[in-house]
Amino acid sequence: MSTMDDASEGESKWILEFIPKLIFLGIAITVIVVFTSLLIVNNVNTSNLEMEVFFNKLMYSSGGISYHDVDTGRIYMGVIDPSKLDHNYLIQSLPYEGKRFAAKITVYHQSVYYPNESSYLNLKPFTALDGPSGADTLDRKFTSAYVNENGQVVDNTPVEIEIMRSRT
Amino acid sequence: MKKGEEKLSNKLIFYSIVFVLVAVIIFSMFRFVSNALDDTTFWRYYYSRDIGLIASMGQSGRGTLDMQYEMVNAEKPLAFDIYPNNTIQTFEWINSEKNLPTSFVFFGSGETKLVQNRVASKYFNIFITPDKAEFTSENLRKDSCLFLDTKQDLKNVKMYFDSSLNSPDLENFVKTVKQGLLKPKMASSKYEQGIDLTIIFIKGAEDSINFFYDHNLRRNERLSCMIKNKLLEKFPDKFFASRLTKIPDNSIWKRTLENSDIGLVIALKDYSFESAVPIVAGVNEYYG
Repeated sequence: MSTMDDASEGESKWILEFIPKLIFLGIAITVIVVFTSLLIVNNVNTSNLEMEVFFNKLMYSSGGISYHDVDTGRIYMGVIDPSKLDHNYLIQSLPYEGKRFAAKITVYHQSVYYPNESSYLNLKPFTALDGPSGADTLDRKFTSAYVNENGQVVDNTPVEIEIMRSRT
Repeated sequence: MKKGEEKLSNKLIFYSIVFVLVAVIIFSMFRFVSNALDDTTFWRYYYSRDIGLIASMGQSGRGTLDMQYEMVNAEKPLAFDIYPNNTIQTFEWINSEKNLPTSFVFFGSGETKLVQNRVASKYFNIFITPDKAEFTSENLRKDSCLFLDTKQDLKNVKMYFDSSLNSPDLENFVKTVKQGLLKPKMASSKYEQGIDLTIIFIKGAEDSINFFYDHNLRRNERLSCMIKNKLLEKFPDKFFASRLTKIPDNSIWKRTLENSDIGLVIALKDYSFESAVPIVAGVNEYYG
């Protein structure tokens, strides 16, 4: 009799041990499936491309910061127009109604923020973070010609463009 | 109750619970995989970004961008709205009320005005000049149909035809299709049971060719493709979109399609005599 009881006790123990295993299996399968599908959906990462597009618009389009001759329609790449280094001008010429971007353009110690300084300062700390809560950055440093307030062309002016985009 | 019987009863209850739990997990997994296969999240995400970034780059240049775009890689038909505030919203054309659209905001241009439009066609044109950016639907083009040997299906084919409209025009239309298809090895039936081919005509809402099927996707896909191609041969400028989707569960034609080996509900806007000829030609091509 005692042998039968022992056997039943062992079986009950096995059954009890089975419950957490089953729950764990369910959780593990769900997590794998959910993560796989998330990975597939988020496989289209256009973050760097979007920043590149912004940089190219800023430098090469007529609404950017390069000097644009309205008579000939020509854009003088490598010559920065100081009248365009204005945050109101940039918002109008490069309209963007999202909340993911911020940029700081520094030319000859003069900085202009896009869309505004608070957006830039809000996004800046997130560039240090990895993962979905962080932000991607694109930094470009080069020298350019610059027409100063006296109308003189200053060569080899340092230009720094810092673009940030939040990942979510 | 004896102690042994009580233990057996507890064990049975426990196994029943485990069985139910396992069944729930397996059912949920199959449901999830099925939803994932039907899901268009990836493609909505992909197209909203792709089209948005093309628009953004096109607005940067000072020349003219004229581009033909083909939206093909989605399990279900997609459409998109483009707004003047440089926003694109891509959504499922059929279940738009169930699924939220995927939005993408891109950098625009202060000089180029974006023309608001809804594009629901497979092919569309992107035309950007320094003044304006426009997205317009383009006529549907012929597709290469799925290769399947369907000639062997021509063995005493029993056909069933019906329509959901009681107009004399449509009755004549159905009669014309029926007569066009009556030939050796093909017979029409008044009953819905034991049917090989069912074709039902319903009124469509727009200038598109919509097909609904219930099962046997590959054969129905081939048949719908052949009918579509014949209609496009006859009317090359008439249609903007074509969709093949599973018939909704609440449709009155669901049961009829279930009873047939292959079957399509065809939704067109106009049922003229001229439309009957390409439909007959499409079915004839399917059977070789």
